[in-house]
Amino acid sequence: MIEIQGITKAYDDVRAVDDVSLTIESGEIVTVVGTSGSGKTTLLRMINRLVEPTAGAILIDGRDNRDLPGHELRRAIGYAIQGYGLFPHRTVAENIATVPKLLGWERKRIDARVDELLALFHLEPDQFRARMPHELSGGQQQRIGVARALAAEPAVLLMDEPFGALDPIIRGKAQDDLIDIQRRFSTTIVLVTHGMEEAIRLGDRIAVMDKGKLLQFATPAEIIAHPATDFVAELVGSDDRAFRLLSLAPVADLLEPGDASGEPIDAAASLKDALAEALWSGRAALPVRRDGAIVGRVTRDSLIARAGRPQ
Amino acid sequence: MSVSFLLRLALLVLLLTFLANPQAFEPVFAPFAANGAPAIYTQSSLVALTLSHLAMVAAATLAATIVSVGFAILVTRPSGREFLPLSRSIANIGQTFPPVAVLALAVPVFGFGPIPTLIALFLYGLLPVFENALTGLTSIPASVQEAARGVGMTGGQRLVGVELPLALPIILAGIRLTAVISLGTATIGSTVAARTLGEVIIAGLTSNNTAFVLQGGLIVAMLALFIHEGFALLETALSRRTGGAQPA
Repeated sequence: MIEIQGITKAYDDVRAVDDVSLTIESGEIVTVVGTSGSGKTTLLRMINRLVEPTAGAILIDGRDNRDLPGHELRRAIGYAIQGYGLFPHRTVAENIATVPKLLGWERKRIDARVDELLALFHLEPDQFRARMPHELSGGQQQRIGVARALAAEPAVLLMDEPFGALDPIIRGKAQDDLIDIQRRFSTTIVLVTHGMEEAIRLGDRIAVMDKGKLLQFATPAEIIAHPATDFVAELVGSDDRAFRLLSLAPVADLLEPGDASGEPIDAAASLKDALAEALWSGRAALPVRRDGAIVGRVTRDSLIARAGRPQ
Repeated sequence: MSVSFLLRLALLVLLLTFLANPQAFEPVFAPFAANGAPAIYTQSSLVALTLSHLAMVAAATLAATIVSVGFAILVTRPSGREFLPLSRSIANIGQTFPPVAVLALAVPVFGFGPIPTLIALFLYGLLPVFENALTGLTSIPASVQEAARGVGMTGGQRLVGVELPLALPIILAGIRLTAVISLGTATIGSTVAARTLGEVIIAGLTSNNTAFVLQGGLIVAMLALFIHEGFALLETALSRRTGGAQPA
């Protein structure tokens, strides 16, 4: 759990972060979204003390993050950044092993961990271990950057626009990978992004910041349905909020008994995908499949009703 | 194996053969020796002079490197940043002060021998290494520095593990420059009784014997060439490993 208590960072007269308080539960993904200059990156960097706050405190699992020297604190917290910051003179394996080495792990344990992480990120260990960063594609560098951040099994992972430089298809894949890994290790993730789309897709909760202030901290559904200020509403955008809302829940939520014809849709697919398919194929209902068996249907009317603003 | 590599190899063999047995080259230099003067310098062994010359250059370059890199590290730390202009001026003065003037000033203090020459070479060699080390240490990508801090490296670990290795090719280019300049400049040391290849050149000048001047000059030139090539190879290998730009 990360408790941010009235944290402020002032540079001369400008308050980059202004009295922000929020509590991030263990095992949750919180996305911090805002325009550039909103203070979101400064807020993130105060968690691992790359920036020291002017006022306020940050508690990680109940301990003030100033209890340890900065470098020791940072070894216990994963950190992945835009541009990845891989060490160009070190191999992929050496890059991933950075923090375990600083912590003095045994050689065998480090090697095993490196191979485990490479496999986890779909990079064949034998093929990638000895490569240099400049021999990798952008997507591969990004994965190595996250693998390095996770190497010492940190409970908390901080990410600053980690997918910013990837093209849309690879970005989608990287986001899915991140969600998988988060579910697997129940890492607490704080991810900074300027895109509301990414914030909604990844965040269990979203913190919206503007001019150093925290405007709203709530679930994606809440943010879409009830934006706290006009600025939040503008970030969400009005033209496709109905579809964003639908994208948050699976088909299983609207499953009902009954028959329907045509190609079935998976119960884990999003409501948005189901509505799109119903509209595209002109069907009033779609059969729903779970584990290969048809378990019921979902109707177009129920999907449309669900897309309205929640009360 | 490329033609240029073979050419360099042949040159190296030629140089070593000449140093080992200069008399064999007597017919080559004889046309340059006037009035039956000896064509090959024999007052001292050319091998001994070459070794002494190289040792002096190596010592001065090493000292200049240690001091310059040390200062460059110091002034790129947060605590030493205010000394940057001062250390830049010192290195610049070292470069603008002519080595001959340094010799003239140092001889009365330290007497004849190798010391004044070493001082002159050291001062003259500071600037290239210092400037390159400064460039190398300050041109590390921001994302790499951010990552180095973010993973929890201490200041010392960042310097040794990230900053110096990444700056090394550029620092080496500075050392190369200093070594090559010193190799040529060291010849004037013989005017104040330092044992360098300048002895051969000066003997040629005072006795009007072009053959001596040519011998001394050619050995120095070839040594400079090989030192230059050696450093350049090292720099290229290092930058290629990190995928960086090839040094010029």
